[in-house]
Amino acid sequence: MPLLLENLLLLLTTFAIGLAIGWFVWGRNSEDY
Amino acid sequence: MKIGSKILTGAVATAVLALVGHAATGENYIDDLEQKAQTELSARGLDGATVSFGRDPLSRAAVLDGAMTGAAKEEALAVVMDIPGVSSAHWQGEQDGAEDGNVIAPALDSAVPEDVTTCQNAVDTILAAKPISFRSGSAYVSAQSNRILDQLAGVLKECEDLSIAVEGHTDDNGDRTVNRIMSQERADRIKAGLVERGIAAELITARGYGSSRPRAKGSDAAADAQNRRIEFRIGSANGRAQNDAKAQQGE
Repeated sequence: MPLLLENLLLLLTTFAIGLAIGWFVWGRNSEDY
Repeated sequence: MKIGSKILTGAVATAVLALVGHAATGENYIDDLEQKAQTELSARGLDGATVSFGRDPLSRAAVLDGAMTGAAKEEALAVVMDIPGVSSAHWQGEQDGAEDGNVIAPALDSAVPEDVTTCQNAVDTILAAKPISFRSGSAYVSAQSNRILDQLAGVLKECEDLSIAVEGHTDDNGDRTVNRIMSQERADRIKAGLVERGIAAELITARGYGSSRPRAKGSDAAADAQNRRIEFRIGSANGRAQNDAKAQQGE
């Protein structure tokens, strides 16, 4: 796999995990952002 | 701003960050990897091989080139594969195997080295990088050990008609008789693994030595882990003399 793709996937996966944690901690009971 | 747009913006920002980071560090990273691989090969006396990595696009897959024969080729592959950051390695012009399967494909050279020392060194190099080890009280061959067996089988196929002594060892905990049986079981399983990979069963002898030949002294966990192992002795056509000679060196 090209290094560029590896770097992109790694950072986007990190972003997705951050998003999931953020939603779990702060977002579940809130209706407005 | 709606939540969807926020997430999208975040994702785009992350992707831009990845692209910028890649542009800033990618080339240097691959250069560094290439230099490390070449240095490591020279350090092992494998100067005949040159390593290169893909530049367009940048890639962590190593391609080796140079005039070398079977066992030395496998050794060079094993050395390069062991460098942290290298994703795979193959020789120029040879098909790269699946990443988790037959990474080191048997070389198709007609110049098969039958030299005992060459084969023993190739095997030792693979085991020095990653030994075949076991959990305490177990003869289970782990997935990692199976990958090492793949590599070893690739090398041993080049060592046609040489005898292979598989020696099982245990740590010094527990009963001697049980340890002897356990070490025999470990050796038998490794032999079976090699036979499964196409090495002739009649060339392989499997023997367990229990805890009688420890590699590491002491009884702490680290020493025990090192002592639960498999060793290989490559012998000449009829085998015994070389194996016995090496065995008597107190190993």
